[in-house]
Amino acid sequence: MKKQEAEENGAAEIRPPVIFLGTNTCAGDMFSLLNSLAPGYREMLTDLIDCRYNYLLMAAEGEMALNALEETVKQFSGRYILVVEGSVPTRSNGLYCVIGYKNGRAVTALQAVRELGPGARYVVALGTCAAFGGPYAAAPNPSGSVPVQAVLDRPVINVPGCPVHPDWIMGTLAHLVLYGEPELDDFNRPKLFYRETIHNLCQRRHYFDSGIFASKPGEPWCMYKIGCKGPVTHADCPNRQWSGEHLSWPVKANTPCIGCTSPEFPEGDMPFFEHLPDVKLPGIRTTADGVGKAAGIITFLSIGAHLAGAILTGRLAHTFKKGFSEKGAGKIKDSLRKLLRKSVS
Amino acid sequence: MPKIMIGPVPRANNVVALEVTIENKKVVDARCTGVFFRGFELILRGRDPRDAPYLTLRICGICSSVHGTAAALALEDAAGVRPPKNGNLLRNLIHAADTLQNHIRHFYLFSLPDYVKGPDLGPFRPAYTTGCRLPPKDNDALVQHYFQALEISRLCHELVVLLGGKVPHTHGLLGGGGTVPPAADIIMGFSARLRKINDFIQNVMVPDTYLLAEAYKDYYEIGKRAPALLSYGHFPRGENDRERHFPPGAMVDGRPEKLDASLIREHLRFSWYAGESGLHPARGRTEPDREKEGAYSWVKAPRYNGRAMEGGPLARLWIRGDYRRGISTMDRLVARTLETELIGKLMEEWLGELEPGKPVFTPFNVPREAEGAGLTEAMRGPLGHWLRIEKGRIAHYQIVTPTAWNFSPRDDVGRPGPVEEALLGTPVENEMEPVEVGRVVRAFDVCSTCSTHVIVPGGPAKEMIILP
Amino acid sequence: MKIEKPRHSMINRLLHWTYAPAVLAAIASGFYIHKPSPFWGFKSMDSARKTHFISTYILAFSYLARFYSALWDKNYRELLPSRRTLAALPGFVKYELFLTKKKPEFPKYNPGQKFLITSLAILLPLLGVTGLPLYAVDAWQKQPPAVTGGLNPPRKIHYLTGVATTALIAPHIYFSVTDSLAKLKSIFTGYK
Repeated sequence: MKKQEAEENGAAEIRPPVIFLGTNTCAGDMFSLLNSLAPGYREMLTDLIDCRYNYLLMAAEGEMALNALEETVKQFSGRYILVVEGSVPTRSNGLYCVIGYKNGRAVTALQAVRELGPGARYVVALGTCAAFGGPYAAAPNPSGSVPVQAVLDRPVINVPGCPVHPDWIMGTLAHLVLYGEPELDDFNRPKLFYRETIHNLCQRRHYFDSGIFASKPGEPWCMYKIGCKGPVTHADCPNRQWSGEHLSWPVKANTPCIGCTSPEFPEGDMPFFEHLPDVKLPGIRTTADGVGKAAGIITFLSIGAHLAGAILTGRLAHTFKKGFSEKGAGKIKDSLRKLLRKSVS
Repeated sequence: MPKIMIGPVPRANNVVALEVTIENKKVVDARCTGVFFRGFELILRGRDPRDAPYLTLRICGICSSVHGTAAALALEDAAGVRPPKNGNLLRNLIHAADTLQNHIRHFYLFSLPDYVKGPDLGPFRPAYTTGCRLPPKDNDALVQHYFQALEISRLCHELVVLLGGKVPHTHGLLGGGGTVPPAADIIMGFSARLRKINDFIQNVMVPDTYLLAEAYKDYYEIGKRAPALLSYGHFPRGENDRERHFPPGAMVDGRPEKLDASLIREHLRFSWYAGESGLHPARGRTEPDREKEGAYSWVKAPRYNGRAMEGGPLARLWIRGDYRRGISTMDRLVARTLETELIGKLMEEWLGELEPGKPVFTPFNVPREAEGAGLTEAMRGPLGHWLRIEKGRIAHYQIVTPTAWNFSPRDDVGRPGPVEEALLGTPVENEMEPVEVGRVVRAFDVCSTCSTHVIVPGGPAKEMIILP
Repeated sequence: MKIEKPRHSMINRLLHWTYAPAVLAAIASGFYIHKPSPFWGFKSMDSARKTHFISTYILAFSYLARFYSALWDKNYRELLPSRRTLAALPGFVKYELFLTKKKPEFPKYNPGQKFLITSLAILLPLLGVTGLPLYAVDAWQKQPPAVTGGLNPPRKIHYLTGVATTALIAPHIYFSVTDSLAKLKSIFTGYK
C-alpha cells in the first residue's frame, strides 16, 4: 500500500514503469540484457526501472500476467516505457504471433503493440527484429513480419543489434530515465552507441589501409576480403566489446562483422562471407561478383569478336591505310586507282 | 469439466500456451500450443550454405550455439570435412559453456519462481500466492541464489565470448571449426571463470536442487511417463566424431536401442501446416496454414518409429547410464543439475587438451551438389539440421528441434506429445492458480522460440541460381 | 582560306583529357577496393582509396563542367539520341555486325556513340549518389541509405554501376582506335 502511494506521489518518476513485451523474437536480446555487468539485472530492477511485465522472466502467467499488463497501462498512462523485443507478424491478421489468451481469445502481438504503444511515454524497439525487421523478415518473410515502427504512428527509439549489446539497452534505458530521449541518428538509433562505423573504430583498420587481408576465418588480419560489413555498419563493438565484461568482439575472434545493427540485416548483408549481397533479378539469383564477371567476359568477347571481324574483312587495314586525314586517304585511293589502270592497260 | 487456458506461459524462453481440462482436481486432458511462427527453413533457401550456422543461431536466444553447432555439422557432413582437434575442442567448449548458462538460468530464473516466493519487486510480482512450501529461511536463501545465478550464468556467457567473439549468436562457430586460436591468456581467463562456475554448481546449485527435491518429494510422482527417450549424442570425443561424450541412443518400451535417424517422421494433423504428413525431415515439405481445421499448434509432431520421444538432460543421462531413478518432474530437474555438474567437469578436461599453435579451422570448398545432416543435443533435447545443396546453394533445409519432440501436439493417430502425456493426472489444487501445471511443463525446459519455425513451403521457388 | 569550325572545341578537348585519366584511375582503384589484388596496380588500400577519391573528385567536377558546356554551346543536340538516331540504328548495327560493307553516313556521332554518351551521363551521377554515403558515412546517412534501407545496398548499386561504366568505356576506347584515325586525331587537335 505504501509503495503504491509513493508511486502516485511521483516517486515513480524516479523508477518509471517498464513493460518488456516479447513478439516474434528468439529472446536473445533479453538474455543479452541479463549479461549486463554494471548495473546488473538486479540493480536494473531495484534502482533504474519498475518492471511491470517481462514476457520472459515474470513470475505471473496466463491471465494474471495479461491483467498486470492492463493495469500498468491504466494506472500509468503516458508514463510507462514500452520495450518491444521482436518483429511484429502481420500475416493472418497477426495470428503468427500470439502473446497470450484473454477470456479464451488469442491476443496477437500486433494487437498488443497497437494497444500499448500510443499510451507509452517512450517506445523502445529492442534488437534488430523490433527495430528493422531482422532475420524473420528476411525474404521471403513467411510470417509477414514488420518492425515496431511500421505498426505504430508515433516515434520509436531503435536499439538494434542481433542481439543487442547489454550496454546499448541498459544505456538507452538509463538515458530515458535520467535525461529523457537521447540524440538519435537518421534511423532513430541513439547516437551514443551507433554514431560511428565499426570500420572506423576497428583495431585492424591499419591492416585494411595497408592491404593486409585474411583469406579465411581464423586469421589475425583485416576481414574485409571475407565479407566484413564493418565499413557499412554503425556500432561501437570495437571499442565497447562483448559482453558484460567487454572481452572480445567478432573481428577480435577472427571472423567478419555481419552488420547486425543495420537496417538491411540480414537480407542486405548475406552472403555473410561475401563482400556484396546477392543480385536478384526476376527468377535469377547470383552474386554481385557473378554480374561483374559476366559483364567482363561479355565485353571482352564482344570486342574480340569485333576486332576479328574488322581484321578479316579488311576494315581495320582500311582504317590505318586511310590514316589521319580523309583527304589523304582519297589521295592514296586515287593513286592506287591510277596504278591499277596503268597495269591493266 | 472446466477447461483452463494458460497463456502466456513465460519462463519458457519466450511464450507458449496450454489448454488443460481439469476433473476432480486432476488434469484429464492437455493441449500444448506453440503460439508463434517464423519460417526459418524457407528463409534459408537459395542462401550460401556457409551462412547457415550464423543464420540458424538466430532461431533461439538461449541455445543459439547449439543451432550453430548443428548447422556446422550438417555443412561439414555435406562438404566431407572435419575440424582439426583444436577446432572440435573449441566447439565443444562453446557448446558446453552455453549449456551451463542454459541449465543455471533454467533452474534459477525459469523453474524456481514456481516453487519459491520471490521478492516484492517486479517482475516477481504479481505471482501465485499458493504452493510455496519452503520455510522462510530456505526460501530467502534460494532468492539470494537466484541473483547469484544471474552473475554465474553471465560468466558462462563470458566463456562463449572468449572463444566466439560475442553472445548470444556467437561468431566462433563455423563449418570447418573454430576461429580463436587457443593461447595462454585465453585459456587462463577461461579456466579462472570456469572454476567459479563449477564452485557455484557444486556448492550451491546441487544442494539447492536436493533441497527442492526434498520439499517437493511428491513431484517424483507427478509428470510421470514411461521411458521413451531419445538422444542424438553430443560433444564429439575426437575430431573424427566416431564417439561422443554423451552417446546417441533411444529408449523404447524401456529397452535401450541404437539410434536410427531414418526412423524419424514428422506428423502434421494437429499442426497449422498444410502438406503431406509423416515424412522424414530430409524430405518434409509443408507450408503454414493458420486456419487449418482441428489444428492447435505451430509445433509439428515428430515421432521416432511411431513413438513420442522425450529428450533433455534426463534422457541423456539415462542413455549414458548415469541416472535411472525414474521419469518424473523432479527427476527432470535433478538430472538437469547433475548434467550441469558433469559438463562443467568435462570442460576442465577439454581445456587441458587444447594445443596452442595448432590449427583451429579446416578450410574447405562448398560442394556444388551434396546432402548433409547435423545431429547433436541441444540443452533441452535432440536437435537435427538436414541440408541439401544444389548448384552451390541451399536447396532444402529442415530443422527438427527438441521442443518439437517434447512439446509436440498429438500425432496423426492422436497420441499425445510427451508434455501432454506427462500432464495427465497432475493434481491441481486451485483452478485459479494452476501452479502445478507450470511446474510439470517447465521441467522439460520448453523453448518455444526454437520449435516454431519449422516449415518449408509447398512448391520449390522457381529461381535459377547462377554462381561464378 | 576558309576557317573551319573544329570538330571538338578546345574546352571539350581539355575536359575530355581531364576526365579520361580520372575515369581509368577510378576504375582501377574501384576494382581494387572491391577485391584487393595487386593486379590493379595498387600496393595498399590506402593508396587505392586516395586515388579513388582524388580521381572521382576530378571526374565529378569535369563532369559538371562538361554538362554545362554541352548546354551552353548546344552541344547536347549532337550528343543525345533523336528520332533520326533510331531510324539510323538498323544500318549502324548491320555495319558493325559486318553484314554490309558500306559504312553508313552519320551526323557527328553514330547511334553507338550517342548511346554510350547518354548512358555515361546517367551512370556517372548514379555512381556519385551511391558513392557519397560510402565516402562520408555520417554526412550522407539519410539519403540514399534511408531509401535503400542501410548502407550495403548502395554499395551493391555502386559496384554494379561501376561494372556497367567499365563495360561501356572499354568499347569506347576500342572503337576510337579502330574506327577512324582522323576522328581520333580530332580529339587531340580539334580537326580531322
